[in-house]
Amino acid sequence: MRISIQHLTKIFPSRTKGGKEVHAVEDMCIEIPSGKLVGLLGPSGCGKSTTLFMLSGLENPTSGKILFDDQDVTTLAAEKRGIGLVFQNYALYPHMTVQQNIRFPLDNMRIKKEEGNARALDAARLVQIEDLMSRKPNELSGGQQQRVAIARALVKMPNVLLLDEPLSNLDARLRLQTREEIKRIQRETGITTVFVTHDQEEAMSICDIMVVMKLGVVQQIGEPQSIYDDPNNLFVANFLGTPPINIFKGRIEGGKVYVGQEAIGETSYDDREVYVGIRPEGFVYDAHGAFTLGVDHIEVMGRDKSVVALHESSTKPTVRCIIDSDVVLPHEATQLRFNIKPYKLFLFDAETEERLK
Amino acid sequence: MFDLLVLSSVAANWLVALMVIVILAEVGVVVWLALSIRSRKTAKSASVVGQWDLSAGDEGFDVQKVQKRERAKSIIKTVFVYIFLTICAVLAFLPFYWMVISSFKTEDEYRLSSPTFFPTMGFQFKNYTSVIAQTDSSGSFLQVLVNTLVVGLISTSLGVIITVLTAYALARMNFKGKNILFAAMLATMMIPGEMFTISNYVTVSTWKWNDTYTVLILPFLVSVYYIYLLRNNFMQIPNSLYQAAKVDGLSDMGYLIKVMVPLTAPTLVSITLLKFIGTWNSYIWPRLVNGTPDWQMITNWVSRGFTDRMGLYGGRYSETLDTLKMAAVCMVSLPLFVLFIFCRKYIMHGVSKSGTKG
Amino acid sequence: MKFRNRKPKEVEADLVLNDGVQLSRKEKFLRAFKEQSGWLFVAPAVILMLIFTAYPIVSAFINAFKQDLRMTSLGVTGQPMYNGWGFDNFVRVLKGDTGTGGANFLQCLINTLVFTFVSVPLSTLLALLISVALNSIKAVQKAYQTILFLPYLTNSLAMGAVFATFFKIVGTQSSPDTVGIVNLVLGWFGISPIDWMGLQSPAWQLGSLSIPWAKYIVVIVYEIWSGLPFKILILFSALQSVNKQYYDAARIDGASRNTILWKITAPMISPQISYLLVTGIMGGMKQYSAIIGLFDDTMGHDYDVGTIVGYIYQYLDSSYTGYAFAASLILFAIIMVITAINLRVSNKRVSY
Repeated sequence: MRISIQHLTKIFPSRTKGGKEVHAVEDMCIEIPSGKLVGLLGPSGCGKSTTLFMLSGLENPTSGKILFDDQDVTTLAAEKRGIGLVFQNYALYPHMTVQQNIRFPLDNMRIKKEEGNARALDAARLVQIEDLMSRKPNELSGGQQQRVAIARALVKMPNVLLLDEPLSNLDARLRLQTREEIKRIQRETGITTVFVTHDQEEAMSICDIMVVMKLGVVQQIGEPQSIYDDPNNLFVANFLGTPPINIFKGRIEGGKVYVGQEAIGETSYDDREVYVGIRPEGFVYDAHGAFTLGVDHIEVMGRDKSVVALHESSTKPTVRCIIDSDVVLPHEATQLRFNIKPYKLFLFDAETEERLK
Repeated sequence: MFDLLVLSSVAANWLVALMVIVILAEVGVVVWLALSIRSRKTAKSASVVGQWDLSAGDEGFDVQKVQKRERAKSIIKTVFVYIFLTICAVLAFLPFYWMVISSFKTEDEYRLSSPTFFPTMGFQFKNYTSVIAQTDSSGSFLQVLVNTLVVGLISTSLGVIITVLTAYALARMNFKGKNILFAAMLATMMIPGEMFTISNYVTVSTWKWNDTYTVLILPFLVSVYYIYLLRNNFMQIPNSLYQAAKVDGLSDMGYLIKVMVPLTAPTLVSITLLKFIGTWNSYIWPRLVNGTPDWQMITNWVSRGFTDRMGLYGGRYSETLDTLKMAAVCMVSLPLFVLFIFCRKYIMHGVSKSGTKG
Repeated sequence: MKFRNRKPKEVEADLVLNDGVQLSRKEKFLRAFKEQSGWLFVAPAVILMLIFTAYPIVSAFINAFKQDLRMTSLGVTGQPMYNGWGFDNFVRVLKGDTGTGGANFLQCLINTLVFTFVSVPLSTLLALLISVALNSIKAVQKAYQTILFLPYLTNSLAMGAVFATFFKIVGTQSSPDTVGIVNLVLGWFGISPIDWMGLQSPAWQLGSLSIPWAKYIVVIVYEIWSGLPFKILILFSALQSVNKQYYDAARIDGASRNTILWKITAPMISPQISYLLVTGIMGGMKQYSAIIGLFDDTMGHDYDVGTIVGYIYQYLDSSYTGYAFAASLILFAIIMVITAINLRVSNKRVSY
């Protein structure tokens, strides 16, 4: 199912009298093609969950429209939308067995018992929990509960699958495994899926389309790699990537990009104050390089090494440069010089924080 | 006094309003039932579920129609809920209302073949004065009031002290046989109180304790349930506080009074209130052990018949009169109301505590 | 700043004054005393419970087997007289052959069971509906909650008397002054006045027993009214603590309002519901003062709405103590059976 979000806005009235109302989501416009896995990404309080709940119908938007395949469902009740929703803490009914939990939506559709059982088993197989059907939720591990929740959402063959922070309650190892699982299930079923996360790595690794939000406003929409390579603004550049991007205060003078007194790149923009963002992997060690950094220490990670460096123009306490482990660095150097890969260097207007593309 | 003749029409309006409410409620039920059946029929066609095949069309998914029905349903539902709650609230309140207005009516008005919902034939306090003034073989109001207050205050304060001491020892102190003692105490909660009452009656009768305050106070001082409640409350206070107090040089007793009691104040207030209310409402035991009316409690007094001893109606009624009884009932209920209004939070706290333990 | 704790100093002095055996014995005693000092705290409760709880249990079991135990005839020791040992009391109570014309045990047992097993489920169900309704509204929720809780704090004798006035026909039987509110309302529907509480109260005859159904209705209506507030309070606070997400999930799953109520809400608060049923039934088996409030000391006409506890007190009042003890042991047995059944059922039902 194609989802079209048009000028969606959600304003929560203030709790206290005379207080400020909260603009959870502002003027959001997104087109989601059918069968894609979409991640809503942003720090907490950015309105991503509110958006998800408006898609589900549990929250009503203040203004704007939501279309499923050209049908306006904006004010349609949640149960009529044909969506599946996986809650952050799963919301499995504690008094029902796994099988009863999964079959519950089918019972409500008055589907015959045999067919219901068969479909529940299918859904359980899809998420590989068919051996646990007679257990109660509190007898399951977090990962298993997660799978039950997904099975329950899938069993009614929804047009849209919504997942609210699906991995946040799992431990690190399960998280990796489960996100692969979600990707696989989404591919197998071809259901348009929207999920919410604050973990950029998670979003990057499985999304077809990523929506980066901040304070209720969409910052950028696109494929994960293209957003990473081509961020719209300082926030997006900062939010994506581990280790995070290095930001320096700099300026453009005569077509050259200066950080401190060193010209480290070129640009066609006019002279102005800018933020210079350099991805950690954008540094190339060169004894005669353009950019000098003071070395704090070097961390060896095996596959590569990470130079933790200092620079007076950096907006963060340290600067991180990742270089190949076979590059030989001078022993006990207090300063290193680098060249910067031009496509790993981004310029942002110092005032608007918008990217200079 | 008040000129309330106008209000007889008000009373009629009341009845009409009541009938309308009932009829509306019934209409509500019927509409609700009809709607729930209809929505059941349309549920399948209205929903968009059941389509793995995403290219399939969306027939039967008329958003406008579904929305309209949803809105209508939710409005009807809300109206229905409010009507239902209003009826329940009216019925919950009706006995209190009836009791108060009856106590102000004359017996003549009370006996009208179609009851009035307001004292239309005059608002009189004579029922109250008559009931208070009746001092005869069945005990006087003032005497039983004094009895109840004395017994209530003593048994509540002693009872709370005993509860606190026992609960503290069971929660915080270590001594041989503590667990067995606690288990034995809990076990007695299973046994119906009547078994104790009968034996205690025999006991105090053999000891010739009849017609004393002691006999009203002593047997009910210990309440295992409150000890249990308070002990659990004490257990929730972290042990580190105890250790800190020890370091600061507090004795066990000092710790109990200065730390534990203030921390569990809400529960203690609840226990105090419920214990006093219990004394106020006690009926069986005083009637059993204190045969003399002047040694009985207020509930015993209210349960007797009140006849027109003071000659309010010139000897026209010889039997017991409901208006007098309602005046007495009001006087017994009023303190409970006052208590409820001022201590609602604590009483509800105490009551709901007992519910969530299960 | 004061340092009130003098103990270390004392101990020190002891150490200096007496060394060796003397000290350690005293210290041992002190320590032992301190360790057991908890008994000092519990002593008042324990002593009172020994006299008024522990002894009565033993004495009830003994006295129930004393034949012809009468309070009116005290022996030289001041103890009530009795006439040998045996099961005589139990047999006479169960057979209804007490030879005093008092209440009939079988009648009282049937009454108690009917009152309990009709009023408790009904009021629990009604309380559930009210709580759910209360939970679904926002405006004036607090006001409704307070009004609905009002009947909790009442004196059952006083309120019983008020309920009696709703049903009572006042005046002479042939030409009543007022037929009471209930009859008045029934009159609107063309039902002629029923003598709910008096001599003409309708009843079914069941062998030698009568089933005074009109009086039953009066009692049950009162029991429901007086039982509701506590149940509403418990269920309402239980409902408020149910995670809202379950309702959202159920809505997404397409559950109708009825399905949500019976398949999600009710099971979620099943511990509280079962608690209310159990305490309600326990309380119902022991009810007494409401009957007195409604029907006075005679418990209806010839104790025809008497309860088991009413039976016990009636025989205690008339000094047939042996019968009272026997009946109280039977009540104890009944309550034990109910407790046992409840434990089995609730282990099965309320397990999540």
